[in-house]
Amino acid sequence: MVRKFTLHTLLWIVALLQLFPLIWLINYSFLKSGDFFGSSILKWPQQLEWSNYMNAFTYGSVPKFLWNSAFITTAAILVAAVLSLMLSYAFTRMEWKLRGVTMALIMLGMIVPIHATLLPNFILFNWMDLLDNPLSLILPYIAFSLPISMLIISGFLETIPKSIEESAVMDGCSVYGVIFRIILPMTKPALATACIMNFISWWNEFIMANTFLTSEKFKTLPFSIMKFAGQYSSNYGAQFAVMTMIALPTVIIYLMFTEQMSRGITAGAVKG
Amino acid sequence: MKKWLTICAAVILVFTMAACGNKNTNNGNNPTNSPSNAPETTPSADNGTPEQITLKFFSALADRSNGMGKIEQAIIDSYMQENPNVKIEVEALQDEPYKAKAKVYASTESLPDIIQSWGQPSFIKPLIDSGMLLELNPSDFESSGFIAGSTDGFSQDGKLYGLPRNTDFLVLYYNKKLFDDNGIAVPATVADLVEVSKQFRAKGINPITTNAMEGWSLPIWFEYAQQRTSGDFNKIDAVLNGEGTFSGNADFLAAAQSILDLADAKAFADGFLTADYGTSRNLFGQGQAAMYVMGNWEAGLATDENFPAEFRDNVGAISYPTSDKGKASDLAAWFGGGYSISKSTKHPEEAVKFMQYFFKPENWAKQLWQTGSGTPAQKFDEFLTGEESALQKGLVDVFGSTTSASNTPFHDLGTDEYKTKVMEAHQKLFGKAISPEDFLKELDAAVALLP
Amino acid sequence: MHKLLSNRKTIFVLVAPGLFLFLFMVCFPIMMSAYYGMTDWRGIGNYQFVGLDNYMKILFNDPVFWRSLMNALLLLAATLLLQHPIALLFSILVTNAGRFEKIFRTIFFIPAVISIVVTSKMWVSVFHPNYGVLNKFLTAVGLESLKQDWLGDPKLAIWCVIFVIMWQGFGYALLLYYAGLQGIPKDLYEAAELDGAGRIKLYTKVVIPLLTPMVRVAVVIAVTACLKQMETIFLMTNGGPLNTTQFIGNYLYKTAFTSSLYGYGNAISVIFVIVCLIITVIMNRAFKKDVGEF
Repeated sequence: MVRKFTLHTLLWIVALLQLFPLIWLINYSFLKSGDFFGSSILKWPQQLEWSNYMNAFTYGSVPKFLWNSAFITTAAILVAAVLSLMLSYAFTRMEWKLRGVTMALIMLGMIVPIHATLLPNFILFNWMDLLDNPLSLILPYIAFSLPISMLIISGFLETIPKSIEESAVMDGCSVYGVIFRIILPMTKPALATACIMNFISWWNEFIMANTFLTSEKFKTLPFSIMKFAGQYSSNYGAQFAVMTMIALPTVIIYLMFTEQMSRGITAGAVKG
Repeated sequence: MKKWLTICAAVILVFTMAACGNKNTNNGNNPTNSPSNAPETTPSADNGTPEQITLKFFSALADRSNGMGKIEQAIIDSYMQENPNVKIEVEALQDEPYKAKAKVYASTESLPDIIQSWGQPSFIKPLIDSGMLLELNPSDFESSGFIAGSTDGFSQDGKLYGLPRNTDFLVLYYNKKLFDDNGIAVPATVADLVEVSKQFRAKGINPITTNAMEGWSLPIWFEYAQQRTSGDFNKIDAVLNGEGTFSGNADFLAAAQSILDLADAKAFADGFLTADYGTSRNLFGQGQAAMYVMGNWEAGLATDENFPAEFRDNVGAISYPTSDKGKASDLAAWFGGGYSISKSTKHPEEAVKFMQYFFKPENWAKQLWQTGSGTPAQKFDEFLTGEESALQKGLVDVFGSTTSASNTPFHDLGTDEYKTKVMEAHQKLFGKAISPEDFLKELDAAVALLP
Repeated sequence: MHKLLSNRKTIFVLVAPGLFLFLFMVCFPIMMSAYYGMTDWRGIGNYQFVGLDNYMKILFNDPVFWRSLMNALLLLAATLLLQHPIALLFSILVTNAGRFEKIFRTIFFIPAVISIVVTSKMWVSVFHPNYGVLNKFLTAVGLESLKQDWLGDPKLAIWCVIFVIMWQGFGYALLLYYAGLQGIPKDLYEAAELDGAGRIKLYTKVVIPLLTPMVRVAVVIAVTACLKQMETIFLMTNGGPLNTTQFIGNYLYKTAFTSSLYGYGNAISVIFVIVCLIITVIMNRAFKKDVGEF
């Protein structure tokens, strides 16, 4: 009993450490800017400063950037999932000479830092007239998603017995049919894992977003805080409000799908 | 492993050659610009109305609701109202992100139609040299009343490539209330400044704050220190012109030592090396630091509603403390930011027209002055109202008495590489990470990078 | 079946889109970097070919580059020696937390799903020497003497940054180990208990060895993440004070976009990739057995 109590206390302390900065962030997003400079750690708001959120909503253009982020991230992870499934199938099931080499080459991409491609890609996109176009983010996001997704999916594929596909082929199913009708549903957990990992990476990515996108039309969410920090550098309440608004969507999505996400990571990681 | 490497190497070779082959099409000043950047020309619904024009306006005044950014935006808005066929799209970033992004635009030859520029070689020279800026006709702007000499930094070989927006000078802002409450007198001399800093420290108050993270205020500060020890602002420029070195010069050494004295007295605010512009300004505005070394463009401190009234009513400004050699009238002053027009703009006439409008005396010069947001680079005596804030009057007094000026800050008199090195050397000195001697050596190393 | 699986056209259709995109967006840029790295291009205007000058300078005469690399290794050491053991321990604790298991697992992972832009800005505020909540807290509990200029002190800043990165990644590491634990058959625990093995012995002798494959995956992910670290640095300190928290990604960005040394920045990119390659090879040697296929 004592042991259980200690265990739970310890876990709660660490949980609090993980959560405290967030609680603090939300707390101060409801306070006046000046309160930030006071001496209290947390403060019960005498009156909720909704104006902070009004400012954040209006001037931070959060809804627009949120939509852009959602669109770019979703497009990238979905295409990446399909492409890596196709690649994984070709690498684990198909028989061809350059298989090992090609796979190794793509796997090598896992260790290539995305920032190393920042400068040349910038020049490249300029040549192709892709600057200030969502594609300038979607394309590298997809490309850099491939190695890790392939690692997870092909690992998972190895564990699926081939007999199922063989019988499908007997029934006259084509390779594409096998992949999209039989393999796709079976690899869902692995695909989910890959998508989640990629989602977290790309949702957070902003150096490329900040460099490749110029007009506000396509800017992604992280930019909103950059913009806002410049414009409201003296108004901490408003800054905290915009940060809360950026943080919440992912937290809510995570809380809604926490089971699927954990199961996805578990399944993918164990088998992969 | 070996096998892949061979293949990688082969692939690299092929692609490198491909990259070489592409070089010619992209190198140099290719006038064919990306069409994606062309302004949208939507056919107008009404017959007879002029063509819809979109001008991209790239500004480093990120705060659009206060000070200069607010005025800039107000003039843009009123222009669009008077000229419904013109749409001006503003992209505004803070100083450092702005400069980084401007380089990105420049390297791809896709500058927005109108950009904020600085009449200083580090910023404007590469742009002029590669022919990216539109040459302006000085007679178009005669009625704007620019102060003599203010357009020099924007000119090269007798041609004008930009228009100055501000007259800038570095001052010491101070919070009277903190001084009074603690029974401390405003410093008059450099020695006082050290002493005052110690007193504030003893009371647990940050003495001086500045944006040392970006780093550009430090070299200007050093110019002051140097002038106060030697009595001459021109010594640094002389070294840059190849006359002598920083190392081994007693005056420079004494100047560096005087900065170190401040550092030893813990004069610089906690965390000042990682304080960016907003952070350091807040520290001062929220009464957490007694003094603030910053440009005169912060006259708006006295009216910024984000700060408590007791601060706004008590903020003042003086010239940098003096010595027996350097007087308060020796000012680190220069013509700062302004605007340039991109050579690749599709609407040069419209861009010039907007600039003419912008720099009409009753627009920028008047509004800037009367809102207490800064000092224009145009004549503005007709706009003095007598109702200026105390801070503004203080700044006018400082500027009005000028007998000698430093001109362009010395870190801006070279390439970006040089500039970075100079600023980093200063960060080390102010952060007590190097000795004055090594600091001067680093400056010499930076100067060696100049062509 | 064999015929179907070795159909060239099918293989091409399956492989080409992904491979092409990969070559185009990953390999080709690196080769461009290698080329530009051999020039003195300043981002605007003409440039000259300078051979291997930039590369030589980076390797032999650029303390900031080496500092950046050392910082990455420091972060890696901290991650492997502190974050991972703690995450492993907590994953075991969480599996034993009974009805709170899911709650803890959820809470621990939350920092990982929040945008780095938010967490970085947030921590900068937490660490602020004058109004940061950390120093306020120390004052409140009477430990005023421990108050620090967290991010402004060149000696401390790197540790603060490392702490933040570990804080954010903690839940992720934990979840990986947790996943590994879920994969261990329940009857194994029962068998061990029947044998009379104690809890601690059960974990050290039975469970953790079974987790080895998972540890490998986690370590590989940690190594790549540490080397590539950039966003948090860019937003928290931009490498400062005095380049003490510089990391390669941020350094190359600063070199290219602040100092306008495009050629040099590209050379840093190339060396960056090579360093990552070398470390991966070393890591794979250390593991002997392949992790996946790379």
